[in-house]
Order: sequence, then C-alpha cells, then structure tokens
Amino acid sequence: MNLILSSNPFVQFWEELKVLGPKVLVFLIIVVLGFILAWILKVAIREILKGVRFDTLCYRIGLSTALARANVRRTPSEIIGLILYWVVIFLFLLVSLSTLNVGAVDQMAASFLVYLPRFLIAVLVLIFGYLLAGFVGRAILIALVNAQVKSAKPISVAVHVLILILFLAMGIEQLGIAKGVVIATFSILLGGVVLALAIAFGLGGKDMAKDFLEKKVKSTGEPKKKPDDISHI
Amino acid sequence: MPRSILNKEVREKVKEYKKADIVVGIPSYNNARTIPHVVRAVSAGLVKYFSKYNFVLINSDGGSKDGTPNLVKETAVEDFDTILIEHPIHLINKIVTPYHGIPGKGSAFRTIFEIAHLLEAKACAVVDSDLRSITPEWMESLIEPILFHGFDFVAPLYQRHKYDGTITNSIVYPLTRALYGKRIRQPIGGEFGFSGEMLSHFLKNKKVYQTDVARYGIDIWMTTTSVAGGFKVCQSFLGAKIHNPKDPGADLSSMLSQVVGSVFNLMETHYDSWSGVTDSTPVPEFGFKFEVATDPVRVNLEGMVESFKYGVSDLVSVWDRFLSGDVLSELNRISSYNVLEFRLPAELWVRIVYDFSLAFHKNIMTREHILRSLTPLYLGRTASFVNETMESSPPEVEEKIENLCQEFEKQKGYLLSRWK
Repeated sequence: MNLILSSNPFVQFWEELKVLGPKVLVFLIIVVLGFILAWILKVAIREILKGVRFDTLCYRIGLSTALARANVRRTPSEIIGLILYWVVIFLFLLVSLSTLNVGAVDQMAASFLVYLPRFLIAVLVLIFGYLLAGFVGRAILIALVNAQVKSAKPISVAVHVLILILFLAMGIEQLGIAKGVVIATFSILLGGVVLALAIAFGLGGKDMAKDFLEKKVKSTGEPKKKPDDISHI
Repeated sequence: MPRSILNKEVREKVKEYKKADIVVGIPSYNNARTIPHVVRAVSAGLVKYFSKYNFVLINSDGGSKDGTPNLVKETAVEDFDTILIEHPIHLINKIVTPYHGIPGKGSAFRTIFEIAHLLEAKACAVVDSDLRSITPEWMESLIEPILFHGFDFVAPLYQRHKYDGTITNSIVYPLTRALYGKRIRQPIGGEFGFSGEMLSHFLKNKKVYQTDVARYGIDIWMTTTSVAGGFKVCQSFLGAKIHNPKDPGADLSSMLSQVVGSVFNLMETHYDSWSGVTDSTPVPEFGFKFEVATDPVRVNLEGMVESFKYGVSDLVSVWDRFLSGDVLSELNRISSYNVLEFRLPAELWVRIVYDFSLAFHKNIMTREHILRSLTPLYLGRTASFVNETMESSPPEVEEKIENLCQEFEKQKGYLLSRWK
C-alpha cells in the first residue's frame, strides 16, 4: 500500500513523459529541420540574387550607398538571404511550438501567421517608397538645375522627403498601428507644410510676385534672356 | 512575317516605280520655310548629275502642321534650262509619306531606308530639310563616291561657323575619332550618302529603332555602324552648312542626352572594334575645299557659365557617385571664375567625358540621369571654347579642336583600364 502511494507521482510523471516525450522530440526535429531549410534557402536566394546581378541593381538605384552610409557591411543579396533565414526559422519555431499543444503559443502562432503578409507588404511598400523618393528627387534636381531654377536643391529635397513620409504612412497603416493617429498626423503634417509654404511664399515673394505681374501686364518688350543662336547639333 | 511600317499608298507607289538606282530621302517636321529650296536643289542635282539613272525622292514627315508634305509634292524646278545644258529625260518621282514609330529623325530615316530597300537602290542619300545652303552639287558629292568609286558610306564635310555644332566639336567628333580611329569630321552632320549594301546593314537590327537611334541618335549610329562594320568610308566637301535651328521645341538636355547616349550605347555594342585602336587615321576626301562666309552666331556666354555654376553647386550629390574627388574639386575651383576668364581645360573635359561613359557602362545609376546631368558641364566646356576662340580664325579653331582630339586619344588608356 505504501509502495503504491509513493510510486503514484512517479507513475503520473512517467505517464505524462510518455505523452510529452514524442511531442518534444517532434518539436526538436522540426526546429532542426527549420534551421537546415533556412540555411539552404539563405544560400540559394543569395546565389540566385547574385546571379541576376541584384547587387549591381541596388548599387545603381542607390540602395547600396544608403546601406553603406548606415554602416551596414553586408551586400543587399546577403541581407535578403539573412531576412529569409530568420523568417523561416521563426515560422518553424511557431509550427514546432504548436506540437506541444500550449494554448497561448497556438494563439500567438495563429495571429503571427495572419500578421505576416501585412508585415511583408509593409516592408515592400517602404522599400518601394525609398527607391521612388530617390529616383524622383534626383530626376527633379537634374531637371531643375538644367532649367537653371535657383532653388533646385531645396525643392528636390522637399519632394524626396514628402514621398518618403507618404510611403512611411502607407507602411504604418498597412501594419495596422494606430491607424487613425497615423492618418491624422500625416494629414495635419502635410496640410501644415503646404500652408507654411504658401504663407512663406506669400510673404517672402510678395515683391517678387508684384514685379513679375507688373512686367507681365506692362510687357516692356525687353527680352527675358540674352539672344543665343548657338546650334549645338 | 513582320508587319510593314509602310502604308498601302506607299507600297502601291513602290510597285509603280518598281526599281530606283538612286533614292534621296528628306526627313521633315514643320519645315515649310526651307523644304521647297531643299527639294529644288535635290531635284536639280539629280537631273544634272545622274540623268541616266532612275531616281526617287522620298519625304518622310513627322506630322507637320504647316503643310510641309504638300509643299514637297508641289515643288518643282520651274526651269531646268538655267541649270542644265540638255533637257531632262526624267521626271522627278516622289513618295511623300508620314512615318510611324517614336517621333524623331531616326524613325523618319527608317521609313526612307525601308522604301529604298524595296526599290533596290544602288545608292542613297539623306539630307536635312532645314538647310538653307544646299546646292545641286551636294547630290554629286554624296552619291558619286558610292556609284563610281566603290565607297559604302559618305560623311559630309562642311564649312561651319565656329560655334555651330558644338556637341560635334566638343564630344562626338573627338570621342568617335579616339575610339574607332577614323577622322570623320562631321559624324552627326545630317547629310550622308550610302550604298545598297550599307542600306541592308542599316535594316538588319530593327530593335535599335526603339532606342534613341529613333531620335537624334540616328546620325552617330549610321556613322559608327559603318566604321565598326568595316565598310568603305569617305567624306565629301559640301561647302557651307547654313540651316535653321533644329527643332526649337527640343531642349538641349534631351538633344545632348540622345546623342551622347547613342555614342555610349554604341561603345557597348562595338567594344571589340574600338578597344584595340590606338591612334587615328584620315579617311579619303572628295570635293574641292574653299573658304565661305557663314552666318554670325550670337552666344549667351553668361547663361552658359551660370548653368555650369548651378550644376557645380547642386549636382555634386549626383556626380560624386562617378567623378573622382580631384575632378570635383577642380570643378569647384573653376566655378569661381568670372564669365570672361572662365576656362574648362581640355584635359579635365576629356576625363569628365570618359568618367561619364564609364558610369553609363557600369550602370552606376539610371542612365538617363547620368546623361542629363552632363548638360551643365557641357555648357561650361562650350563657354570655355567660346572664350578660347573668341578672336580665332577658322584654321585656329580647327587647331583647337585637333588638340582636343589628341587629348581624347591620349587619355584613351584611362578609359580602357577602367572599362571591364
């Protein structure tokens, strides 16, 4: 009787271990498999991207320079390989944890899987916004300099920043973080900038506008530019 | 079978004419003021020098709104007796057609090439429609080397004002000469003669007509293609080139980017042809050279220097991706000069052009941005050239250009060492 009483917790433990043991084993196997698959995918994607000259493309669009400025020593193809590596490991970890049948973990895994596509879209939106802002900013800068516009640099920087803010707001909205607050902040910020610019131009350029209109209305006939007959081609 | 770019009316005309020994093409866009003179000069030249041959005159128009095509149809040489000893045997056969594709001179040329090819032309010539100085003799100069001397490509040689054709003088001529080793003085002159064989070669790769070759890049593409293809090339003296300004709507930056972009693209295509060339040689010349007066050209020197200064102050963030620190600091130093003492030395200019070509080749950034950011530097170099040659006679100006060419040849090793 005494023996039965004292062995009961051990039996119980043994019984639980018999149930949990295979689950832990499956958990470990899935984690190890995850690491192996993640490593294979990392190497494969890195080599594929190198093969299609992804790094050259990133250099061309200025992404590599931005990374270098941020003190990132890895190449863009290595970074994408690394992101993929950790995403795969994380996914495998979630799947493996679900084998343990822990309620909280299951719930977390489910909500993460729902959230993952939104997160990836947000990252893509931010990358696209960064590239577009760089491209448009530079195109505007060159066009304005060629047109001999005096404030070419501030205008191009303003356009660059506005595009970045727009895409940042889009990215944050995609993540679903404080939706209302982000939209309101963005609207107030943009509205404020436009109003500030309007006031600044209005006050600062009052005389200039007056001169311009006077010249237009009076039309003195004085040529705006010096004559140039040079035929470049 | 690929769809023809020629409309039904044109194809019927080709059927009617069957064959032509000589085809002369005139591309046009709103050239009502000058095209009647060009058509008269071409017609008279063909009748005067090639009366024993069949010839067709083609006008390929880009949708003119000033009645240019109608003027081509209606224009005739009223009195051949004043220019001919014998009466003409031939009437002037004309094909007047709009062209299709990207709007530009290259697309107009492509239509001319296609028609000439169908007509099995032995010799062709193309002349611009904005010319005011063309004479009937230009036809003889452009076509005779093809028909009677076995040449495949005739480039023009003109007497031009020292400030006319500055893209040619500061970039295209010296660069193509240093690259391909042939001293073709007007590689983008606009008036060319070429053989039937050359014509077939021009039509081999139709994809090029989807690039800047369809626009202002056509001239340098034709010249480079003939030189790199090993065809027999010569140049013919035509006299003075006086013309109306090129398409006033086209801005300098686009024009420069199309021409220079075509040169840089051709460097990629023909690397094997230019990489082994170490010096340059003259090409055979036809025609009797003589001095002629050209129209005076007004230059806005202040505007050009100002544009250069804007570039140096604002475009450093673009240029520092492919111009070295010493070049940038030199540009910075130069930008402090006043208008009359402004100089951008030949050595620095050559280095800049080669660095731009390397940036284009290595795709350092969007190619259009690389090309368009060259405009302020080009204007700086042009201002410097104007200052250097303000009091110079035509031979002295030629000497300056010759020195620039030699500098391009001298620094070619720098380009080659960084190309791969």
